[in-house]
Amino acid sequence: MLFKLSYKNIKSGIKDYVVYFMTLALGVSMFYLFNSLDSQSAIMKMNASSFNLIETLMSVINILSYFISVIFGCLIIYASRFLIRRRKNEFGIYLTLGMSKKQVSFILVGENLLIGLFSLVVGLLVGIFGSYFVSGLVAGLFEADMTKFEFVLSKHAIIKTMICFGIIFLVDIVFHVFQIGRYKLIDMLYENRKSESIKIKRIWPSIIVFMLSIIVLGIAYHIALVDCFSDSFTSNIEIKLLVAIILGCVGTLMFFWSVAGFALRILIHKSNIYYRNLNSFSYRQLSYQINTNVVAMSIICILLFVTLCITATGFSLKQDLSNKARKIMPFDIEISNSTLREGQQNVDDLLNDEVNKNDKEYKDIIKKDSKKRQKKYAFQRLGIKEKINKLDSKYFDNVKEYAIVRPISWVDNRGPLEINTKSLSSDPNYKLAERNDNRYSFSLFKNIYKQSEYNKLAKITESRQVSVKNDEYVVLFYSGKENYQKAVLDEVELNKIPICGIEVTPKYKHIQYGRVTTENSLADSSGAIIVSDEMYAKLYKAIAKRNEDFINNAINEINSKKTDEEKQNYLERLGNSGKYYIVENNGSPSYEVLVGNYKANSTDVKRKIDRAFTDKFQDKLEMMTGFRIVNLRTTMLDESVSIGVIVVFVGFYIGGGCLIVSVALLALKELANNTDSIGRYDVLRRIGADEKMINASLFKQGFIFFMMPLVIALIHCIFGIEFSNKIFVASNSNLNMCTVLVVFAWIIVIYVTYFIVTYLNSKRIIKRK
Amino acid sequence: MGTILKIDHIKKYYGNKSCLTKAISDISLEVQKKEFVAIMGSSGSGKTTLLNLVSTIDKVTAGSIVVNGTEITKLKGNKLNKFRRDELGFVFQDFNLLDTLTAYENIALALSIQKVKPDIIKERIAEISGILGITEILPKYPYQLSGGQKQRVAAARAIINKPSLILADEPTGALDSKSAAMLLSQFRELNEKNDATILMVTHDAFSASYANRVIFIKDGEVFHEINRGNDKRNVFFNKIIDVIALLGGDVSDVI
Repeated sequence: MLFKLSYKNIKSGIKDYVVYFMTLALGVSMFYLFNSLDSQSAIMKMNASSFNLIETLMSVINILSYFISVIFGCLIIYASRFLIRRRKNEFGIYLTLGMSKKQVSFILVGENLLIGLFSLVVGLLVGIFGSYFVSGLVAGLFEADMTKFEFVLSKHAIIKTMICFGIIFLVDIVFHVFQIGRYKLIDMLYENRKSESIKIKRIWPSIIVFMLSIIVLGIAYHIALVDCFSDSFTSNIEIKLLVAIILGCVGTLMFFWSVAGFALRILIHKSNIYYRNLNSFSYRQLSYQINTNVVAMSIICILLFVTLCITATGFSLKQDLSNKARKIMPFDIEISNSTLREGQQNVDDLLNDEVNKNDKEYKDIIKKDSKKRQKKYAFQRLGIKEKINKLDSKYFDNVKEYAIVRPISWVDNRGPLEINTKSLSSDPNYKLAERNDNRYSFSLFKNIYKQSEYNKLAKITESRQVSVKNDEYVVLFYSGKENYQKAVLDEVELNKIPICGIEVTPKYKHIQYGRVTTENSLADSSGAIIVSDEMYAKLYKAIAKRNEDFINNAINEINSKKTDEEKQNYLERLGNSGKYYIVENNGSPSYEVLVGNYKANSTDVKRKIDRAFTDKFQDKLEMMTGFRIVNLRTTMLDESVSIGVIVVFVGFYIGGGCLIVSVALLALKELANNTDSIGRYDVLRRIGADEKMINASLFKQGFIFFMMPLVIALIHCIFGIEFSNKIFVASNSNLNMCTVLVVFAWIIVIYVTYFIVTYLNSKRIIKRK
Repeated sequence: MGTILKIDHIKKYYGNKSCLTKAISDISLEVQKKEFVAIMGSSGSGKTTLLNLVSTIDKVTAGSIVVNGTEITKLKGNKLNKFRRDELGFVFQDFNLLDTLTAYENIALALSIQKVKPDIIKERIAEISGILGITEILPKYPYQLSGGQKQRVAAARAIINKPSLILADEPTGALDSKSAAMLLSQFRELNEKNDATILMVTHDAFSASYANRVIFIKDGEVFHEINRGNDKRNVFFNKIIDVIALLGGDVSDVI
């Protein structure tokens, strides 16, 4: 019987529940959608390539889900509190008819249960169908080759959604039973008659606070956009940003506290507008509404700001990552041994042999070992291609084209390029190694490339070609940090430099922009000196000669020492002095980079080749030769896609949650307000305002009430996005304005839907008499 | 003197065949221009229903009501609103002021919904508030005003657009006797000096004694009517009391 009453109540009052229901259903569907991501085929497909993408994504979503369910729980309690308040009178009548509070609670529980179940079912259905579309979207967005769409139903997501929202409903019900128990009958029956005395804010303080709020917001924007970037990237950007955010929040709060009074002051002066139709009523009503909801509106505004920023930048970041991955990997594989100085090992052996040549035991060991050692040396002297061929003779069958560079690394006491870089040192992050003579130098520029080798490589990596003649040299430099790079390119002047006694002349007066390989490898950060093939040969010879001289000299020194101890000491001192370092390039150029493209075109086949390489002999290669894979195109793409997926989904989850919560809050506030104003609209009717005017007034109020936080959030967002843009620029990427606009369009669609539903609902509320 | 209000054999029934309530069984009356008419009757006599019908809030079952030459029972929708806006002014027992607006804005609203220019609104409000003695309180909000002040603001709102007929529903119902007397004498003044036509519904003989003519209603029919003529107010009051005694009202109705 009581349940029947609940059912009938809902049936007749269904329109009152629209916002409540809509929010619940949206929440449920969103919850399902994100929690079922791991069983969607598009994502599944992606997982085949991308490490532990799903685990990472799902664990993040899991944490977020708890957070979001708590927020939704609060929202739902708030929403149904509003519904109960509207129906206090009705409950009061039940009580006077002799029902017990328990029975009234039972009716309420029944209603909640019905609505909850209904929205759960609808939300799940929307979520399930939604996930179907999301699959398509995901496939498109994240470059997963989707050959067919499968309709998937994630059981665990359904169960999780049911449990989470079940708990929310339960808490909601308990809360309301408690609430009903606390009401007094007299309050329930006479609620409507209690005339609330409204307080209207004085106008002068509003004007002052309004001005202040504009100033505070201005400062916040200034800090975010100018101060944060003033002396390039200083370490306390986080603190500055935090200050900007706090000021932004305070400014927003002050703004909403004062805007109504301020705007009203201006409007009253514009009597042509103010005293037209119901305008005076609408504005007063609106200002009252804003003044009583200052905190709520500020929170809504900030939530919207978060929504806009997160979704827009998240999406752009993803787009940017993929573009970047594609741009910086124009080749399939990059292998290099730039990290290992194997030459030293040889010198070490050589000198040790010399020191211990009288030690019989040592000699025996050497003898036993010598074959192995010879083999090792021979292997080390091989080029990278030969080395790989030795490990897997079929590997190069897959390769369509490749290029190898073997720069000679030249480090004397100083690098070949010694530059007064004091002007560059203003940025503490890039302080270069300080020298005794108070000069800073680019020991960074130590790699000397052969022109022909470099150009061949540049063709594959799609970098600039270089041509030098005779004794000319060109310096290429690239840095991910734009301001640093700019300083180096602009400020450093090049002169003639002696490399191992041979003088070379700069072709250009300045260092040129250019990169040898990709960002991940060490090769780039050290810059590149490019010389002609002849000069390279000459330098190579000279350096080799010098190294040989060094070793011979060392051997002579060792021989000149009498005792073994002295010899040992000398060797140790030599080692400690770091002079082996210079001899690094003895034999073959120890630093090599190979880039290549595979014959295969499809990413899947490439991935298979890469897999085979990494699984089979990546470790062996590195152990034996020091060569390792620096970059694989497939890995890089997969990585950037995975990061993109996580960023976008997390962004959408948080953003979507914030959006629904804030817009639902706005709708509820507006509805509650209009419920309180029923009497006022009756007065308007009595003094002859027609329905058209009243509806127009209602629309205007709702519109401004809804738009105000959105507009402020959008203004904040312009600055927020500008900030992210600057960050992106600094990290050499960019924010895609097109995606930002698309995201905004979607947000506005949801927003407007809520607004319209609220407006129609309000119209109904004020009509009821 | 022309006829402002002509009520011709109106009936108002509620309910259906099986359970019919005749709120007004048959009433005919006329109000002339510049008249101040009070309608009296005990609760349930149909006087509020009558007012609702004249004010177009409710519809007649039969008969016709003509206000200033317009047959209002046939009006619909926006025409009805326009008629209400242009021809009628209302004063209610519970003031019905908008609590979010100042007194000035409350009065101005009645004109601005008629699309009157702000300059003219200002002039008219200055004029009316002078008559009603509310100039001082115009910038205040209703919650800052006393009951009498509120009702005078409401009265100002009712007459600001120079309606052909002012309808007052128990205007003194929520006022103390001093404020009530003040309000009623201002009604009288409006009637005499500004030629306002007032139709006031009341169950209070004291209030009714301010009118030129009192119409008594009982069980949905006109029971009696008396003219003040040249009587003093206290004489007229006694006459009213006599009729009430005849009407069978009890003592509580008298004072």
